[in-house]
Amino acid sequence: MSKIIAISLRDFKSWVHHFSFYLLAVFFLGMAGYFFWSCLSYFSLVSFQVATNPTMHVKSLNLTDGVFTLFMANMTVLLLLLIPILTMKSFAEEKKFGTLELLFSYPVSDLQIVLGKFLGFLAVISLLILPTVSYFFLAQVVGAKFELSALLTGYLGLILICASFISFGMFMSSLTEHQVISAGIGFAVLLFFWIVGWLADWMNPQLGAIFRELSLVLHFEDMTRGILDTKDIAYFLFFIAFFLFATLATLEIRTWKR
Amino acid sequence: MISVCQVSKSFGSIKALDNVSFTIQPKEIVGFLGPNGAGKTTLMRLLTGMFPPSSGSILIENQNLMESTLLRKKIGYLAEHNPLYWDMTAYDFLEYVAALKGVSRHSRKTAVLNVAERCSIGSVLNRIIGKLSKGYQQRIGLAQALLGEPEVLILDEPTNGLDPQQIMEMRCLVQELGRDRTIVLSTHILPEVRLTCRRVLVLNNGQLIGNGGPELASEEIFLKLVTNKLVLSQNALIGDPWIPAKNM
Repeated sequence: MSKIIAISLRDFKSWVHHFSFYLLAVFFLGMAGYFFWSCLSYFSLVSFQVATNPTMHVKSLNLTDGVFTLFMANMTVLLLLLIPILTMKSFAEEKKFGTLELLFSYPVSDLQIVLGKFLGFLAVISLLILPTVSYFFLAQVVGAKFELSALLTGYLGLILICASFISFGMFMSSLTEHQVISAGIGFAVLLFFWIVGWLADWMNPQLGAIFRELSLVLHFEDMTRGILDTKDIAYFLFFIAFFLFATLATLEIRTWKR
Repeated sequence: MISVCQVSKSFGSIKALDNVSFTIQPKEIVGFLGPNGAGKTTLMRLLTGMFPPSSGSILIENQNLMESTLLRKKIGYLAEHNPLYWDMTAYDFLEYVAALKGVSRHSRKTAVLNVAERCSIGSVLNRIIGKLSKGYQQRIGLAQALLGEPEVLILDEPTNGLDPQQIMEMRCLVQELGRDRTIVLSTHILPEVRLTCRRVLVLNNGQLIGNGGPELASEEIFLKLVTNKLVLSQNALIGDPWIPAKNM
């Protein structure tokens, strides 16, 4: 375990000591702040209109659906863009500079390398999204009280979806020495997993059901409403484990006898 | 003791090593000599356990190197072109390597300071590796290989890119380190092998074509060997140096 922690700490420090991390953080938190403000402002406007116009018929009006779910969806799109940029370095850079060869010469297993890097990136992303929790406390000051259960399950879902993006990004990075290719293809494929649920409506029911089950968005959406379904958790855990295993297999190709 | 038994390694259709066998005794300084593309680096990487041979086996203290990653604790490796994390300080990097080599948390600092003293890098420990001179970077590469007190040091082109003064310093350091551990180094510089090694293994086109004392690294014999003008008997290649080493 100490070797996994050492690898994750190195990767974590390597990012947080780098100027580009702060650029990414400013961009991410600036955009996230804007999304939160715009969701809250829009909700406030709609609430005001409903309150002043009794003839208006609104099915349901609550902060979770009107602000939190929307905000989470916007934030995940941002992370879909940012995470492949972060993870593109994970293996591609180590291969390019030869440091992966050095890692392979140490008494460290490939699994420890993969898990160490995965946890390192998860820590970086957690650091990036942690300040967004403060938005909800600030909103509370002006009277917008969010459901705690929705916040908890929503952030759990956000961490799980980020972990899914990281595991896939690491897999792409393990396939190539070129960081831009890794980030580009990583983004394109994750985007496919993002929109695949929307395509389901245009397909025949059987294929549509498969596409719906593959969708990252649909599994995430319920969690932002405070619903914790084991099916959704299992989907994310399987997604993460599958691509971590694929990354491990890519590293282990070198040990196959030829 | 390291035993390399009938090792071959292919990468697709390219045969990098072909039926290579030899043994290395404890505390020997052995040099791999050969022209570019002879298979030296492949053999070095096989000795670190980075990947398995296509056929044959590599035993360290009678244990197959590929059976456990923990056997790599016995090996310190300085890779060709000396890959390092350029954005880390020398101290942080060495501490990281110590953690990966299983040095316990409370003795890491002492271990790092010990190797830093041995490799004379104490004055640059807090500096960023990427901003150091090539000589210091090479010493840091050697220091990371020494962490964890490995019994075998594998040095791939340790004087690569160094100036004459730094080459002399590195040579002295390798000889000093060879007093209490086995050292395997590869190079294509003949004088370096003559001055540093007690035994020489000559590789060409993936085959072991010479196994003997430092005399094998003379220009005349080496050229004859690699141009097939001198062929040694198979018996002379395995375990029985063709030319007895002077310093052994």
